[in-house]
Order: sequence, then C-alpha cells, then structure tokens
Amino acid sequence: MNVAKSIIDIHAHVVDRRYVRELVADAGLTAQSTADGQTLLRKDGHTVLWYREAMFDVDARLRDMDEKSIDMRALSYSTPNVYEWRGARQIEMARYMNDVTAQMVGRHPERFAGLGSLPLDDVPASLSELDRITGELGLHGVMIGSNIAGQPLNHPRFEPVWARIDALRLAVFEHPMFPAHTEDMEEFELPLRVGFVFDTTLAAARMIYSGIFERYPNFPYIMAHTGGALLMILERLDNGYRLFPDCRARINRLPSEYAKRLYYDTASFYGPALAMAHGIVGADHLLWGSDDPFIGADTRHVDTMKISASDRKKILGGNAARLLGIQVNKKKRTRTPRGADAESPPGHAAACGDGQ
Amino acid sequence: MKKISFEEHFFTNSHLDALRAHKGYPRLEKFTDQNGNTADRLMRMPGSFQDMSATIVGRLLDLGEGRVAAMDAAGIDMQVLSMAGPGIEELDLPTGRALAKDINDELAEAIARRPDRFTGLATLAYGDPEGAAAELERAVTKLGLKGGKLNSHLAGEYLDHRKYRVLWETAERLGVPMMLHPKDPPAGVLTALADYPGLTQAAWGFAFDAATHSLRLIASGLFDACPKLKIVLGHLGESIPFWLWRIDNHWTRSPMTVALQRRPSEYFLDNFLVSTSGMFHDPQFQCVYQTLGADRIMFAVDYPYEAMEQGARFIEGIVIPEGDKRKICSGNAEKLLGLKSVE
Repeated sequence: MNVAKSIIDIHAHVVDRRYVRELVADAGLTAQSTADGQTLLRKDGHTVLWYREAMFDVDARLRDMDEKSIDMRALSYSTPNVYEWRGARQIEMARYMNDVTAQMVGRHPERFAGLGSLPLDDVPASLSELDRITGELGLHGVMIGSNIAGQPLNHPRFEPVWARIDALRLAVFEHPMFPAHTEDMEEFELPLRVGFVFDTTLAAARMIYSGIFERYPNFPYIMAHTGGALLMILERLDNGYRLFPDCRARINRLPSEYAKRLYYDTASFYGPALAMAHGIVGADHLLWGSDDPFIGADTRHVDTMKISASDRKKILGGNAARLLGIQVNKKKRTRTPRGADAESPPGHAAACGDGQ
Repeated sequence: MKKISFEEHFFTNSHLDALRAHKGYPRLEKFTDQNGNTADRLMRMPGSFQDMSATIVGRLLDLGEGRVAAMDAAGIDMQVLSMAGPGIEELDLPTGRALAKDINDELAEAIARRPDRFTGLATLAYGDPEGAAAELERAVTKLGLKGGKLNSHLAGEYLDHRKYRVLWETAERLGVPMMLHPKDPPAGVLTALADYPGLTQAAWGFAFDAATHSLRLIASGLFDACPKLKIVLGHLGESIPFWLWRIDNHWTRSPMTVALQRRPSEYFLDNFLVSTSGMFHDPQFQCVYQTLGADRIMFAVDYPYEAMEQGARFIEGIVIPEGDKRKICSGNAEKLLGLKSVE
C-alpha cells in the first residue's frame, strides 16, 4: 500500500515548566490540586491554566502519538501565552518560549512542527521575532491570541505585523484568550468554557469587519476550536454589513465571504458542529486539531464525518502540511519554502480560487 | 456560478449521412410514428433502437448560435463537446478513420468560432488503435482538442484488450483525459434485456456497460501501467461509487483475483472523474460526493438528451460548500482540460 499516512495535529501545546513557574509567580496564580491529578492554576475564582505532571514528559507525549498513530503535532503555547508579561519581560519570555519550541522541533523534526509567539506589546520586537521564527528557529507559523492583553487584533498598531505576516505568507494560528473583562463570569469556569468562545468570535468579527483580510489576503489564518461561534453567526454578520454603515466602511464584500477563506481546526470535537463547518467552508479549509495535551482528542470526530476519503485525508493532515509548508512522506518530513508548491498556494485568498 | 458542462453531444451531417448509408448496425432509418410523422430511427444494435426526433437531430447538428442561446438561457458558460454515439468506430475502418478526421476538423472549427463557449473531445476510430492514437495526438496538438471520447466496446470487445494500450499510453503521454461513454451492452447481456427493450439503453444497459468497462480497465492493470491516465465517466460514475466498498471487500478475498498494486477503489479514486450528466437527483449525488469528494466530480448535462435547464438548476440547488460547488461547476474541468480560468 503506497498511501502515505500523514496525520498532523494543528492544535497542540507546549507544556513547559519554566513558563508555568514564572507565570505563577508573575501573575500571582494560586495552585489547587484535584483528586484526579490536575494542578489548577487559578486567579479571581477561575482557572487560568492547568496541567498534569505527565504533560511535561515529551517522551511520554511521543509514545502517546505513536499509540494514536499521529505523525505530527504543531506545537504552540496555550493561553495566556506571553501576554501576561509586559514590556521587556514579554520580549524575553517570547524569545525563551520560541527557543523551547524550536528545541522540541529540532530534536523531533519528524514529529513536531512549531508555531512561535510574538511579544505584541512591542511591534518592532515582534517584527524581529518574526524574522527569528522564520529564520534561525525554522518554525512553521505563529500563534496569536484572540486579544492582546485586552487590545483587539485589529488595533492599528498591529498593522505592520499583519503586513509582514502577509508578505511572508506565514500561517497564523489564532488561539482563544480570556475576554478582556471577565469579572461578571467567574463561576463555573465560565471564562474558559464560554469566554474563550466569545472572545474567538469577537476577534474574528473584528478582523473581518476591519478589513484585515481584505488588505492582507495572502496568509492562512487558522481559527482554533472551529472558529468559536463565528460560523454559526455568518448570516448575522452579513446582515450587519447590509444594515449598518460602520459594518461596511472597511470591507467591500460580505463578511461571510472572508470567513469562508479562513481555516478552522476541528477542535469543537462535535459532529453536528463539524458538519456545519464543513458545509460552510469545505474540506480544504478544515484542519484536525486535538488540543493536546489538555483535551488530546483522537481523530474519531473526523473519522465519522460524512465526507470522502480524500477529503478526510486533507482534514487529517494534508491541509496542515500545505499551510505549514511541511513535506510529508514515509521517509522524512522536511520544510519547504512557503509558496513553493505552485498548485496549492497557502494564502487563504489563493486557495479560495475565484479571485472575485 | 460559472458552469462548464462536460458531456455535451453533437452530430455532424457527414456522420448522419454515413449512418443513413450504413447497411448493418448502427444505421439510421426513416419511420412513421403513430401520428403519421416521419422521423429518424437509430438502429443501434440488434434489439436496441432509438427514435431521433427532428428537434433532437436539429440540436445535435447545431454547433453555433442556437446552442449558445440555449446555454445562455440555462446559465451554462461552456460546453465540452463530444460526438454522440454510436460513433464512427462502428463503421468500417477506412470510412471511420476518414470521418473521424473530418469530424474533428469540423469540431475544431466550431470551437474556433466560439472559443469562449466551446471546447471539445476528439472522435476516434479506435477499431484501429494505432491510427486512433495518431488521430488523438493530431487532434490535441494540432487542433487544440482537450482529450478523446470513446463509445465503449466494439462488438463486445472492451478496451482492456492489450492492443488498445497504445491509445491509453498516448492519452497519458499527452496529459489528456479520455471520456468513456456507455453503449448498449454486448450481445449476451442484451439478450438478457431483450424482453424489455426499454432497459437496453440509458435506463439500465448503459450503466451496466460502462461500469463493466471501467472495472475491466481497473482489473486489467491498465492503471499500474498508466498511473497518470484520467478517465471520465458520465452519469455520476455509472453506479461504481455505490459499489466501491463491496468491490474492494470482495476483490481482496477472491481467489480469482489477479495481482494489482492497489485496491480497485484506489484506482477509481485516482484515475477516474465522474460527471453529473443525466443524474439530477440529490441522494445519488450525495453518495458520490461522500465517496469521491468534490475534486472528482464535474458538472454535465448530456445535452440534448437531457435538458440544460434541469441540469443547471440541479447543481445550483445542491447543498454543499461553495468552494466544492465551484470545483464541480468549473474548477475541476478547467484543471483537467488545462483551460484558463476566465473568472
């Protein structure tokens, strides 16, 4: 059988001890243990991040990948990422975190790809870090939070960052952050359960309405957790464009048209939600994500989708390989220059096809 | 949404004249219908005939503005033209060869008049495989046609026979697809349907024939020899997508199986594309869409035997992702035929 098996996880996280330790100290988090071995790091009555001891063991994570027949995971740091730190300290931590990611990828280039973090408090430093991420560190893309310490992603100060990312045609993996204001939703872990979804959706609506995808159509923007509620409310966003001048001031097409050019991971893990996502954006725009090690889902939620085998292959790894510039075959995986594959350019506009 | 329809037929007067002059099968006869009108009856094979109304014949002969107006009315941007069957492969070789050349020239001229609306597939007298391969090469390299059209078996002989390999190899080398069109099944099977002549053609016999032909090509190892060869089937794959799992499942178990490098489904998924010609029903479409995926399906009508309007409304109405619909309506055909996207 000469079908190359290539299962690539777009949504997986680095769990790193120094990052956790310094975050606990600097953000004033309180540790709380649960009966089944979790350590919850909490603040203001809700969990900010959590871990189990086994999550720090890279070899154990590789064994787990073997057991689940997962070829590769694209690693990024999860929430709250670098944004809890400010100024020079944020730059220092971003560099440290990207070094750690690059080391993991360097040690296991067949098994891990890496998505770097940007110290977005400081735009020039972010541009330098982009050079390092795509240059000496050889990472495959960047992770960006759904808000940057309360600042929206469409804030004008980030414009040079989007311009550079667009020029590099670099894959961006957008990961949820806690909403800027969570004071009224602290019970039941609502900042994590609902706040994440809200903030993801809010960020996407801002990115679309602000015209970032119109001005910078060449980079693939991948939304975690199947885009939060974005795909559910496309008609509502389009109605905004039809009804209100503010909603059409910066864009020339319906919001849904931009949403359909974006990419979505499958980390909603939920069949009916994935069927809806597939119905809207199709198999070329979905990427399997496990949220490992926090959820660590296997591929069953994709295996059971009512789609063709070739579409399943795209979702389980083909799209990720294309967008991250990973060459997959049985022997080895190597990085190719982005855009080298003329047949399938990575940019969301190019992949969209009609150019209209 | 832009639409290129892949399986759209025509006749030339030269071909009709040849069919009228032909004594055996196929031949065109005059007959008088119940209302006393004279029409053409196409005697396809013993036990299988087809009445050709003046309207149908007129549409088949029109490679000009009448056809374009009908396309405009239905919202079809481009037709991939191929000659209706039964074709010149059924005539004696010298006649067939000469006609093929004339028909391909005539087709190229019609395309040259409306290159924005028409492209086409070559007609081939494939009873002479070497000659047909040479004509395919001429049609592609000199006339700008985009592939070939084959009307299935020749007196019961299917094209998995070794002598046709040269034709397949030529198509693969030129990088052009071959459309495999069904025909009434060969004599033995036709006998099984003879009590109910309505079953011999599009209602059932065609699918049996084209599916059998496709599976014979797969089983013969053709695609191990020509891994880049692309075959286009009409009618949503002539029932094969529905059977694919069972074919694999039993192929691997059967002691009578010959050695292939891959499972039958893998060849079908890689070497075949299917069109929607004459299959405008959602449950069947969804089966094929889920089995093959959007990259392997192309819009088609089967004009003039089916209505452009019906085919176009059907494809517009199916509920699938927009990007997938774009591939099916035009993107896949553009890629397969090397057409420049106009959008």
